[in-house]
Amino acid sequence: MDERLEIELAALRPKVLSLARKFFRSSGLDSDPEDVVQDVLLRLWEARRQGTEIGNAEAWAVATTKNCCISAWRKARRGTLLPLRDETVAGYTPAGSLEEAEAAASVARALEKIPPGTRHLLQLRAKGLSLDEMALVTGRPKGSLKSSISAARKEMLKMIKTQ
Amino acid sequence: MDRKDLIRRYLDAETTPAQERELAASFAAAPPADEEEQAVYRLLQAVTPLPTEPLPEEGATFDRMVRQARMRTIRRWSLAFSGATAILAAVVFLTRKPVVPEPEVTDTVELLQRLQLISNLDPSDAESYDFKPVGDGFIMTARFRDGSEASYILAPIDGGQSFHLVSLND
Repeated sequence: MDERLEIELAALRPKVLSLARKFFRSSGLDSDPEDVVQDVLLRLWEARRQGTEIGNAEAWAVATTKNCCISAWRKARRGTLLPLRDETVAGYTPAGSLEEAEAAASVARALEKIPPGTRHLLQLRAKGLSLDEMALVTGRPKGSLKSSISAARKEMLKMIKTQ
Repeated sequence: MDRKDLIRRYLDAETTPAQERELAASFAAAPPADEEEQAVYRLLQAVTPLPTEPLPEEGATFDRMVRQARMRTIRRWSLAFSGATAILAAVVFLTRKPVVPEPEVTDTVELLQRLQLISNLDPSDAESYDFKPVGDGFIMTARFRDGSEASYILAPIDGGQSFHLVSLND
């Protein structure tokens, strides 16, 4: 992992978490501020990967945290759920046969049975984050992430085979 | 590393993102050979990257909401503080030791005029008057032109509106 990015993510995490906590306390929103932290750090990771010019990373992170907090607040007020089903199977394009459509549906069902937190890890991984980067973004130890991802993949594989 | 090895490492979460891309690419080059590989292929296709939603610029809304919440907190604390102060004041008021009001008559001329009303003492006969506070009242000593002295105790009644006069002379 890029050492500069690693330092940036580690340094910004406490500040972003503190700001998100402050907002959630203020707004009375019953959500996990960690979700905002992950969102912000993931955006920073993407921006760096894409070579987006960010002058002051801290100012950028504060502005992005504010936007993410309000976005989370608006979603909570609307009661919006993340469109996991559509998004997670978006990459699978069956050729059109009934059999293949059923296969795609079975994979989607398997993915839905995975706990949301673990599913989120699989999606982060699919974005291309290494375990080190995921540990910084999620604030979880690498070993724990590895075992969660492995268990989820094996469980999904089992479900796909039996369906 | 062959595909079987990659699959094993993938399921154990030991592959790097690059190796996982390599595994997906291998299925594009050569279709799954067996049921196991077919299932892994489906699994690889099923999990797509987390979508990144565009964020509207909401910094001002955030600042306003936090400011309003802070004001609400300050108001709540002010109210609590005012209530506590009022209760404390009430407790102090109810438990305080009653204070006996000091005689309010401090004007010597007025005092002498009152004295004249309740005694046969003529203030103009005296050369000087000395007032010494004692308890709630005074001891007044009058020195007359002939050198004699006379002392009186003045005890206030009704918060100093009127006085008892007790002569200390023979």
